[in-house]
Amino acid sequence: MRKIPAELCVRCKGKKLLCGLNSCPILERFRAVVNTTLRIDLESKRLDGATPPSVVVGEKGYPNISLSFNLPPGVFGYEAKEYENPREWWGRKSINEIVSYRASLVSNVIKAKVKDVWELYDKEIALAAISHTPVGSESLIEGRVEAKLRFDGYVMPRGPSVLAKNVKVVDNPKLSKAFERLIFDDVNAQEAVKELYSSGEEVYKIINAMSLGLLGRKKNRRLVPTRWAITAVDSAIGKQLLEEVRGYESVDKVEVYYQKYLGNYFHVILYPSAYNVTWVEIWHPLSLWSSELVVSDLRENFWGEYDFMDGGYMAARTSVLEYLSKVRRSAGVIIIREITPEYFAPLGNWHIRETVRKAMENKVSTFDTLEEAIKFVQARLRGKVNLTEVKSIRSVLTQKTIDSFFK
Amino acid sequence: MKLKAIDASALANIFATVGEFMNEASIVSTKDGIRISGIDPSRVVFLDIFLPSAYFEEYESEEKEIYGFSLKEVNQVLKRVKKNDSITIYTEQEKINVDISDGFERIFKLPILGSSEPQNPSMNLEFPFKAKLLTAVFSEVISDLFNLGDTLIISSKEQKLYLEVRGDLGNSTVELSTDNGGLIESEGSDATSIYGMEYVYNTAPMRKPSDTVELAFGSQLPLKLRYELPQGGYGDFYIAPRVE
Repeated sequence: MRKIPAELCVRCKGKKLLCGLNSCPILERFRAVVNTTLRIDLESKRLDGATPPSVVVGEKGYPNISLSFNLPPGVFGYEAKEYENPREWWGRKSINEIVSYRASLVSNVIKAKVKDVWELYDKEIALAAISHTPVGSESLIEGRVEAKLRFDGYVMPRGPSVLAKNVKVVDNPKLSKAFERLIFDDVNAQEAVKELYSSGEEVYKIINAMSLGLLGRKKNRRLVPTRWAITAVDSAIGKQLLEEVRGYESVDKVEVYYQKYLGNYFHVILYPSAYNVTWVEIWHPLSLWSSELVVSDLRENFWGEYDFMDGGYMAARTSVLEYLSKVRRSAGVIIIREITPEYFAPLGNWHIRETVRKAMENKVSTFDTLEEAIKFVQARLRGKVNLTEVKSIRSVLTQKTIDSFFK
Repeated sequence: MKLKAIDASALANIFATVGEFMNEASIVSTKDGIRISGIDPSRVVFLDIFLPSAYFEEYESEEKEIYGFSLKEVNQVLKRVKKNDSITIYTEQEKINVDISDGFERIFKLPILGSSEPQNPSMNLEFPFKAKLLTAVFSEVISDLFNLGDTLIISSKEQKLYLEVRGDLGNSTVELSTDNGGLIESEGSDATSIYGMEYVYNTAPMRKPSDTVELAFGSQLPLKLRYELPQGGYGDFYIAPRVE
C-alpha cells in the first residue's frame, strides 16, 4: 500500500495537499465515517439498514473467524445498492466516491467458526449475501462505534465496525434460480461455479456464495475467507474458459486493446500464438504500495501454469479469457497494467476485472508484428519503462519457433 | 499392435515426458518399433521418441498402424504404475487397453482418437558442439538451476560445457568437462546459445528410463537432447533458441 510519509500529513493537516492528491484521503475517510456514525442510534444499541449486499469473511484467526455484515445505517431499498455495486460503479464513480461509500458501510462483526455454514443459512445472513437486491436487516450492537482518524499514512476504504450481538434479516433475499437449486445440490464447488457462471450469474455473487459456504459437497461446506474465495472463483472460471480457448484457432493479427479507470491504465496485446500470458505491472512512484517505479511481471504457459498466484492477475486473466471464449479464438496475451499515484487506496481487484473487461471492447490498433505493437504501447505508457527490457516480454520477443529450423 | 514391457515405470516416465509437451499424440507402430513425435503447442519443441521392437518383452505390429490418444488420460492411468509392475498395451476395437500387472491385473480401456500420421520434419542441423553425459548428472544440474531463473545459457569452450542461469538475485554457472567427470565425451567448437529453462526442465522425467544423454547445440541453433534408451531406442528433443 502507498505510504504517504506521516511527516507530510502532520505538516499538511489536509489543507496544503502536500501529497499531490486532489483531496485529502484521510479527511475524506474521516468525513464519511463521521457522517455514518451520526446515523447510528447509540442509545437503543440498534442498527438498521439494508445490506447492498456486502458481506466479508475475514481470514484472521482461521478457523475462528469474523464475518462482517456491512450495511449503511438508515439506508434502505435501491439506494443501499450503491454502497457496493462494482459493475455499475465502473466509469462513473471516482476513487474518492468509492472510498466514501465503503467507509459509510458499518461492519456488523459476527464471530463464527468456519463450520457454522448452516447456522448463517438459517438466519438468512448467507442468503442475504447473494441476493440480487438489497436486504433490510436489524442488528443489536454491543460496545461503541468510534470514528477513528489514524495518521499512519495508510488509507483503507473501510468504515467503522461494531460487534453485533444479533443480526436479523427482515427482507426476503432474492435469489436466482440457479442459486436456489445449487445451494441444495450436492455437487463439488468447481462444478457449481461452472454452472453458475454459465447461467450468467454475476461473478461477485458467486464469490459471496463460495465465501459463505453455499457451494460444494454438503459435508465439506465451510466459510471461506473472501480474499481466498475471490481467487478460487477466478481460477475455477478461468480453468473452464481455458479448456475451451486452448482448442481454438489463434488470432491472425496483433491487436491492442486499452482502457483506464481509477488511475489504473491497461493495455492488452493479443498476438498469433498458442495460449500463453505475460502480465506486467508498472507501479509509479508514490502509487499505492510503492515509493519508486517498480516493474513486476509473471508468465503463464499454455498449460495454465503460472509463476506465482496473484489476485490482480487472476481477475484480469478471467476477463481476457471471457473475451477469447466469446470470439472463439486463442492467442498469446500480454497484459500491461500501469498504476499511477491517482490510485491511492486499495479497492480490491474488482476494478481490474471490470476495466480489462471494458478494455476488450475497445480495440485501439492492429499490427502485423508483435514488435510494432510493443512499440505502439511503449509510446503510450506514462512511466519511463522500456518494455523490450522487461524479462517476460523479452522472452516472448526473442523465442524462436522450432519450425523456422525445418527444411 | 501389442507390446509388453517388463519395466512399466520406465515406459510411464516416457509418456509423462511427452505429456509435458503435448495434449494428444499419435503412436505409429511398424515392424521395427513404435514412434511418438510432434511439436508442442508453443511450437518451440519438436520431440521424436523411438522405441524399437527389441525394447519390449513382446511386440506385435502390422506393417503400419497409427493410433491417436490423449496423453492426459494415458498418464492418469500410468500414474498408478508401481516399481515392480509390468505393462501390456494393445489395441482392440477402437480402444487402447493398458494392462498393468504385478501378480494381479488392472486393465484400463481408453478411447483411440482419430489421427493422421505425423509429418516428421527434416532438420539436418550441423551442431558445432556435442557432448555425452549421464542423464542423472544432467537432470540434477538442470533441477538445481531451474529455480534460479527462466533462461538457460549454454556455452562450450575448449571442449567444456557451461550451463548458466542469470536470475534476479544472481548468476549461477555449472562447468562440466571430461576432466571433472561431468561429461563422458565432448567434441566440437566454442558456441553460446540461450534457451527457455522450462522446456529443458520438462524433459527431466527421462532421467528414469535413460542412462545417458547426448547434448548438441550451436550459437542461435536449437538444443538437441537425445536421451538414449535400451536396445537402440531414443528420445530426441529439439528446443528452439531465444535469439537476442
